[in-house]
Amino acid sequence: MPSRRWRGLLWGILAVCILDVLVLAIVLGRALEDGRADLRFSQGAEVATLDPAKMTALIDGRVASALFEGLTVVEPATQKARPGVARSWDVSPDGLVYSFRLRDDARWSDGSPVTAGDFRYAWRRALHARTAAQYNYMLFPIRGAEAFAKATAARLSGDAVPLPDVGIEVVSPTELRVLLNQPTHYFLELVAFSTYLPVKQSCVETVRDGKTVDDKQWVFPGRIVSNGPYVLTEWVYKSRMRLTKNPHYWNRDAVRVGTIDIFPIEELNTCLVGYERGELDFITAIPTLAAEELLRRHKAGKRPDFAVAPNLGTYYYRFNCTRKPLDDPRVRKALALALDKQEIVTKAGRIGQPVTGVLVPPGVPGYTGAEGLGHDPELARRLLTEAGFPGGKGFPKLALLYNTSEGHKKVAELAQVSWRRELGVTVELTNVEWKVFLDRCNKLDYDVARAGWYGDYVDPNTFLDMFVTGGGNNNTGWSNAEYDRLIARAARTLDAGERMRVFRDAEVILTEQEVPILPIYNYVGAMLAKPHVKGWHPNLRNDILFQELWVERPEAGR
Amino acid sequence: MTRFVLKRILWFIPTLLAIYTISFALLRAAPGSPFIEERDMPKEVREQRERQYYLDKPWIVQYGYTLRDLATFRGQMSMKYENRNVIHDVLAPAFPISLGLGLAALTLSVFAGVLVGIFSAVRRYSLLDHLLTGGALLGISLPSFVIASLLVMLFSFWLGWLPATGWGSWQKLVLPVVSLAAFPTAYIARLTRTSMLDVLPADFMRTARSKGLPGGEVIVLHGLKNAFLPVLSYLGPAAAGVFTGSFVVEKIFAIPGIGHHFVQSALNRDHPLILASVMLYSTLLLVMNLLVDIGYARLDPRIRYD
Amino acid sequence: MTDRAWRAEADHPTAPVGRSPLALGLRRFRANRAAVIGLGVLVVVSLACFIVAWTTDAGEPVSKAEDAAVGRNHPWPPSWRHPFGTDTNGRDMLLRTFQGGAISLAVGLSAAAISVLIGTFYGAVSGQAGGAVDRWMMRVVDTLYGLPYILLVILLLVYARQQFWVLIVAIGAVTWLTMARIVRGEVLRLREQEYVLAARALGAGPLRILLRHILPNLAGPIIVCATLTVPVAILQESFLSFLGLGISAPRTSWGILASDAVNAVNPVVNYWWLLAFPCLFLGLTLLCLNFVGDGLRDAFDPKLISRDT
Repeated sequence: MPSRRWRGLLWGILAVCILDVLVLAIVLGRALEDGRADLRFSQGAEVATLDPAKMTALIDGRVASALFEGLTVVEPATQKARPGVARSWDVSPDGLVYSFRLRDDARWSDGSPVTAGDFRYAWRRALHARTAAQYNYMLFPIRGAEAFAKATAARLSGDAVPLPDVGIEVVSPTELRVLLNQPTHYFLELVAFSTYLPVKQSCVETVRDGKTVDDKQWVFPGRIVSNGPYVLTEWVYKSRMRLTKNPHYWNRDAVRVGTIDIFPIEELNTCLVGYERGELDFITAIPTLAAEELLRRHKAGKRPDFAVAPNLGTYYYRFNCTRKPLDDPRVRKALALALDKQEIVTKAGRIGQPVTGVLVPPGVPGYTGAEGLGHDPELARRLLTEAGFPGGKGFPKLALLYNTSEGHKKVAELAQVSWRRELGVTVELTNVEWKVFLDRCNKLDYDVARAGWYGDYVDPNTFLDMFVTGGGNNNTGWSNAEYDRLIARAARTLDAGERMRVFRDAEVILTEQEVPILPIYNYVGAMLAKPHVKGWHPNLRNDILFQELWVERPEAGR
Repeated sequence: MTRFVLKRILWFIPTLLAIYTISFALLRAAPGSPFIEERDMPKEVREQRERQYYLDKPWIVQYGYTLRDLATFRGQMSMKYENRNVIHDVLAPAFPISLGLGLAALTLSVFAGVLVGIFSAVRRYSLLDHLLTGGALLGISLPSFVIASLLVMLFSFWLGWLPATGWGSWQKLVLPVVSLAAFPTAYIARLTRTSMLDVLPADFMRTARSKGLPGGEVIVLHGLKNAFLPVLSYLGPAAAGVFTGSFVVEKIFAIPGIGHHFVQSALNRDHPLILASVMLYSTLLLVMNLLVDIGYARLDPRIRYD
Repeated sequence: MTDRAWRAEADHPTAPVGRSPLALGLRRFRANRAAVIGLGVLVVVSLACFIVAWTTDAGEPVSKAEDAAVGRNHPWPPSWRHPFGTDTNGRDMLLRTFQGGAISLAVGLSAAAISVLIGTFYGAVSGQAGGAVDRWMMRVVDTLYGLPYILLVILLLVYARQQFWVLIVAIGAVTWLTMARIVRGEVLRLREQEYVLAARALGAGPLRILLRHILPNLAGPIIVCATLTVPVAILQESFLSFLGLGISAPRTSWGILASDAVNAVNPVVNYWWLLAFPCLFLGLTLLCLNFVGDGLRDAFDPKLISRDT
């Protein structure tokens, strides 16, 4: 017979069970229902921010191009700009003045018209130091922009400096004039970039304690006002983001997918299982080994839902040129020549990434890059001997740094084997988490560090201007006056062909003569989409324009 | 008893304060500013952000302000997810999810574990015993991420019975809860089995049986009483384990719970989120341990608390 | 007994009077088949792992000549030349599994050792001191119990570059709490035994009592707890590896092998050998450790001992 004590226990257990069921009921009740979206998409991790001025990641940019529309829109297939909010434009003969004429039917999602003033506000906001936009330098081709950014920064620390003029003029509500420092050939593509997207001032700003500040929560559903093909109707963090067709979008008739659900699923395997089971229609986050097999089957004609395309990005290693013996270009060249990049691409890359010896990836129209250094272990050994380390004797242990990731680890392990096998050089691998990695790269606290770069626009400049003396992304301690001169000259050159030749000369210095970096391979982007999803194609910048997609069998069920 | 409970609750405060102090010290002493980004942030901007989090003030002031923000549930803005308040926007929505998941896993593990333990003790050395014990041992011998991944492949892909991602419906919760419950179930099963085996041949069991009570009732009523104590005292660390293990499960099944935030905030050096998570977790554990001790006190007349 | 019977007993002892608890425990342990087999397997596996780790080179892939001969890309399924297959970088999985085992076991044993050292010292001092000191020391333990250790560990790992030692210390730093509690409990119990009271009556100081009388009797529970800490430590190590905080490459552990291999079994491909062998050995080792630990606990359980003699 259960004693009183035990009855108490049984009641306790019952209470716990009821509590349990209650909590679960609440949790499930708040769960996301309201029907299935027309398109269920996943790109892996959750978006960091939807504020166009502040975003840096590709995945953020994809959502931004669905919510906002800039002056132009870059076509994924051609990577060329086509009219967006701007219906037409004029460029002055010297390439320094751009006049954009905006549509008069361009509307925000609250119905108000999109004006030139919105662009001016958004661009100045992105420049302002208070916004702390990491990509604010994208706006620096505009006259006075860099000075303006610096002045606002100085003001923040208390110096009452005057604010310089910025070359953004609102001629009329539908005409925007932009003055540039130098002719910028890719400017039309540039204004499609996320930092140049318009935001509505009255939506972003709010008054707090008598001061006008940015409302930190302006990007959330219910508050956000956007001018693109979609509006953000729901964002349950790390659970689901829902985009719904914007009824005020000027081109709404061309937008065929009514609702899009974006699921952040970090575990690649789970994402793939979800896709294979039909819970997801379109994914870009695919585990490498699976992607390899999918590519094989795709080539055999069996997986038409899979597609792969070269991306405008390069995976490379940085050398710390301030440390011995890496300050000797012969040593760096030896390391570059000895690395078996083909093995890396076969065993670690696995989806047909092209090996490269140069920084700028193929696919930039009009640009012929340098040759770069190939794979020549014999020459490498000779160079190393010349530099004073015959057979690797006396060569100190190299510290190879990478941020924690299975992929980077595999590449690093192969590099380690390569250098040991060909040169007798011992390499020690260290992985640290992302923040520490950035910190150490900035502080030049490494010997060799892993790096990667996706081009922000289709032009060699986005890659090559990283390595000017003191460049924010240089992080190698390398400095070469001739290189700096060439990059500056290219920025001033009007003639497109001449400009590309100058870039090529610079790249020769970078990848053949001085070799502060070791390019390994160019990125490749993979996508999986169910047969009923149409209008997508993997492209150079891994863009997805949601307004161009359509679904052919949008009925419920799998 | 009431005095005991009250005293324990009062002890929460200094304990939590100590935990807060240790965490705060570790965080502020860790090298590297939390505001490192890939591209250089202008010095002035970084300083402004640091000011936002009192990082420019002497550490004792920081200590006080941050404590105030936590204690009053005002919370600070997350450093990584800039638009979100750590308490209201990040942890509050995620907490019920993890709580539901964790409670479900614990309840499942207690029931399943005890049942398995009883059966394998009663039918000792039988095939069933070996199978169950074997299964239980598997649960404590494999890392939870392996179990979770295998479950996904087996039940979601090969058999196609259950969905893989998300958490909206009860079907979606089955695999995560089972993965999370694997280790505690196995452990509890072993505990129960051992305790039952200790008790089964004991004298008073013989007496009870000789009194004429039918076999099943004997086992359950008398054996279980003794066997349950170690299980109960394991529930404290089990809760701790479930909340840590939830990170793995939440990552694999894409469930937006607090487990993920614990680790990510540490990797991101998101100080406000780390501190808020630590305090939340510690409070939960303290409450859980208190409940366990209360249950223990009520069950075992030999133990007296005062 | 009569006088004569006593002397007869003394001259020809029939019962094993005066056998130490250790000997009795060992005999009971030997009777537990699962524990003995477990111990055997453990010894064999550990030896194999340490020998392989000592004599082979971590990270050395299959030769290029062999790559060319086979023609297919890695990972290769199990074959005669590579009984466990190869991994994606072309390293033999048998070697990798054993090398990983060496690290996992090293981490597990070292962490358990640290936890024993700290925990025993702390628990013994606390139990022996008694009173307010004991209460406060246990309060510290309770406080530390409430701290989510994973954050401690991550922050610790962020400080230090040399990850192996930090890993061991970090895991040991958490598991000592249980050890301390157990040791303290035992010390409290042993303090009240007759021989200790006798020693105290004879004027022995607390330190001497601790060292000569209490510590030797702690050996049992300590060994049991240590043996059961090793699997915990190994599992924690694999958890940390899953988060990317494990040993640096190219050294590997079962945890790293398992977390890397988790994506190798997916709807499109099935490189089962990458996951199966490390998990098999990991699971087997943990199983055996648990068997041995249980066996030791049964063998040295004071309740059982008193029942026998």
